[in-house]
Amino acid sequence: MKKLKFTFHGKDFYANMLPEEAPLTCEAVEKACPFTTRWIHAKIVYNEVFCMTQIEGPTFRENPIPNLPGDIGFYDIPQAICCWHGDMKPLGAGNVFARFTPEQMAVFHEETVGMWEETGCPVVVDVVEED
Amino acid sequence: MSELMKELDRRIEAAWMVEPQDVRRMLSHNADSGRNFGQWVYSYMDMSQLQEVLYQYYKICLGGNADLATMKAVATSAMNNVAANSRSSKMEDLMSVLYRASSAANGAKDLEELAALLRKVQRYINVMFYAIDLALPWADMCKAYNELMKNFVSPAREGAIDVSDQ
Repeated sequence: MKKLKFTFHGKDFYANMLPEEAPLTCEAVEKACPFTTRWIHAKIVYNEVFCMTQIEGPTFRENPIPNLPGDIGFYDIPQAICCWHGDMKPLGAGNVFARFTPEQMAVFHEETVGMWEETGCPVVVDVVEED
Repeated sequence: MSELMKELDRRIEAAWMVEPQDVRRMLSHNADSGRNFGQWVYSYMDMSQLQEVLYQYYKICLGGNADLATMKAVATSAMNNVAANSRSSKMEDLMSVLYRASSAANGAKDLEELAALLRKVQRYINVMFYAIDLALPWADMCKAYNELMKNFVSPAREGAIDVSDQ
């Protein structure tokens, strides 16, 4: 199974790619990986971090579903990967192409909950084959 | 146009993890008068708006059904507007890029060429948007804002009616 991998703070965090729901987006993300970027905290959604990418994804939202905790979406306009975690209310329907399991989200949330105070943390994004 | 496209690639790469000099120029503007925050706000708004607008124009061009002259007119208008604002905010590199991109757009031979240019410019605006975002200490700004808003009442609030209460 292909997984989206984030490496920051000296640790690796994984999420499951959703190639059935967003095949073009998953392909575009994998093509752009690996790359280094920075986490930025969202300004409206309470628990959301996003990072700038150079992914050239589809020019439409392939899997536009209301964004829930654990979802990971791609926004083509700002070319951003957005991660929603912990307790949050959906703002919109982003193009969800990957998802944390509850266990994956728990560890990700623990590490990113302080990102509001730590803007610009470097992160390496990659797509890997994991069981 | 190809030289401009290469330049945009270089600028995107240079600004990827390191703050562009334009941002530091902008942050010093009006700093002596204590009003730089307004400058930051307007620069942030300009990047946010231009990244959205150029993306829509890019998609319209990709669709292939638009009039080339019309798309050139609207795209150059958007870029020239922010170029002029960038002159005011001392973001000199951005101003130069946008004016030259506007000129290049006018020379695009077809919608496909225009789309490629607009997407490249829009991607440069994306990195500028993120760089300006990173230049603000959001957590501390919100703390200061919260304090100020405790006692601040808008002069336009007197007589205001919440329709939902009626």
